[in-house]
Amino acid sequence: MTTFDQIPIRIIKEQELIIGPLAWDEAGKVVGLTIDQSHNSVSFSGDEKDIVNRLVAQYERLFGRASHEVCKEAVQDLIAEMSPEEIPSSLK
Amino acid sequence: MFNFFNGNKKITEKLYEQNLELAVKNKTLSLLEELYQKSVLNLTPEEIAREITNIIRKDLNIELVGVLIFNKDADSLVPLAFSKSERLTKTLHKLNLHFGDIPITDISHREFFKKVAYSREENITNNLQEVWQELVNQEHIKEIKEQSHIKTTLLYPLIKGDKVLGVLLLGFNRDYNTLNTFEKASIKSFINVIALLLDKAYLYKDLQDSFEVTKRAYALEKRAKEELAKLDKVKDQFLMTTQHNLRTPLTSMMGYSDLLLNGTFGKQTKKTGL
Repeated sequence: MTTFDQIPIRIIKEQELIIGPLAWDEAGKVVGLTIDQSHNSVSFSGDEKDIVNRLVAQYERLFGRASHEVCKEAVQDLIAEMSPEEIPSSLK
Repeated sequence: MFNFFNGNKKITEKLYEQNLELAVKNKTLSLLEELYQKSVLNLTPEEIAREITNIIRKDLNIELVGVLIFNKDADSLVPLAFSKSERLTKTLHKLNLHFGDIPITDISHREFFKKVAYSREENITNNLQEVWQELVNQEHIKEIKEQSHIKTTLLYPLIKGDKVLGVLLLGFNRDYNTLNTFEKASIKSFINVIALLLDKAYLYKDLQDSFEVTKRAYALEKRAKEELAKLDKVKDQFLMTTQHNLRTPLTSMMGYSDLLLNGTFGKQTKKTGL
């Protein structure tokens, strides 16, 4: 699994701890993101950075700024090893 | 209408923030519970330290977690257990380097460790060289840093009562200020728990050691008693044999002496007398 594949899973799982299964439902609404909850895996169709940004925005639209911070905090160890241009703008 | 939706959103956001607080507490509690469960199933300090370091590393996605025991008399820190990420394990294997085999000596002359072991304060560095200094080859340090991406090393004292039992070493692939709320809350909580669990493990070890000493002393005493009984038997046997061997010729000698004294063999002169 690539680092980018791990990012949405980390975000969804972190959100799940706070809002429950709704986290998976909301992630499922993000265009370009296909989720396989039983295998804890995702696939992207389109620009990966944009899709991650849309996922973060999906939660922020519903739950506000705090949910955005949760997304950022959830992936700190993953983005620590990415170059700045690789990191989706919502997670910087 | 706008105000109604706006109000609803504010409530949802507030609820989210409260849930977030609860989630952090839940995660911290689960981690503490897991540490406690493992400590119940494992009794020796080495086993407990191994479990603790593994749990913390996996839960917090850390590259390196280590527990070192402080020996104040020897002014050193002795490694008890290290848990390493897969990539760090590979790198160390390639370099044939084992952190577990490296005792950290002369603590009072190593600023990074001295502050923690003697001043009981936590310490942080972004320089891996500052941690290992001459104990690990500089080239190896460079390789470790490159391969495992360890950026920050945190060191916490493990305190029980007025005594520093040891230190907890955490190696992160990111800066301290990027640690999330859960990670910071967890570290704060589990430091004391680890100290308590290690103290319990050493107490159990001491009890076990003194039990073993007593058991060995009893076994020794039992063997000595058995040896003594054997010797007693040999002594009795010897006395009985000696008694018999002495009595037999003495009886005849006494009989002949009586006969001589009674004059059975004629009167005794000074020349033939006894």
